[in-house]
Amino acid sequence: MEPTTLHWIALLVSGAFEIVGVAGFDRLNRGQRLHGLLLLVVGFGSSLGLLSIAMRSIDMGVAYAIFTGIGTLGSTLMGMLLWGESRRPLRLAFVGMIVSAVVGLKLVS
Amino acid sequence: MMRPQWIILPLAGLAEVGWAAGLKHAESVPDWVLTVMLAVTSLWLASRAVRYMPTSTVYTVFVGLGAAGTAVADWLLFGVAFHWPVLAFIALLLAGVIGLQRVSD
Repeated sequence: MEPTTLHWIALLVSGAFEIVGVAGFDRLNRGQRLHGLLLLVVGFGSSLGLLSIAMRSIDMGVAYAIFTGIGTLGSTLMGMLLWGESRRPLRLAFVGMIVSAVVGLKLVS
Repeated sequence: MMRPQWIILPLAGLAEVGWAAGLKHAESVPDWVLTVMLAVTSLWLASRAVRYMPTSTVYTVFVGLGAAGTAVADWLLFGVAFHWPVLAFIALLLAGVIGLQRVSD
């Protein structure tokens, strides 16, 4: 099956929903239990559902690499912009190393 | 002194490897029950780690350890051929995780 535009959109949105799920962790940590759990379930649930749809036509390794790339970089960005997390260049360099390694692993396997 | 998150996160990563393998290989009802239990366990452990370090760091390390563990499990348990690039990426990943631990004091 040729990858369709719809499946690419599903993939991008599934990455974005990972960030929603991570936001759930942040809420839980601030003691907002109900809100946090809701974001976790909706975020990670929709994310996995859309990812599996995207994988119907997009190669699994490629799909997973893009998916985790959006999730990790997106949540690091959200962390810095909205949740007051550290912006130390060294921290960002190490995050970058992990993200490149994960994307690389998914692309070669 | 090891801080708690650096024990919790590898455990969460291990549980993640378990349920990722479950998604691929589960064939019976008990397999699926175990898979779901591992998924819940890994998320629960990750949510504990968030108390001790930035949320996005937890998520990144969690995803990273899961990916490395899955690659190792594919090789050791599921008969996927060994590739040198996989080892190189795992080394890069561990260097990143150790580095993050150093800067998050």
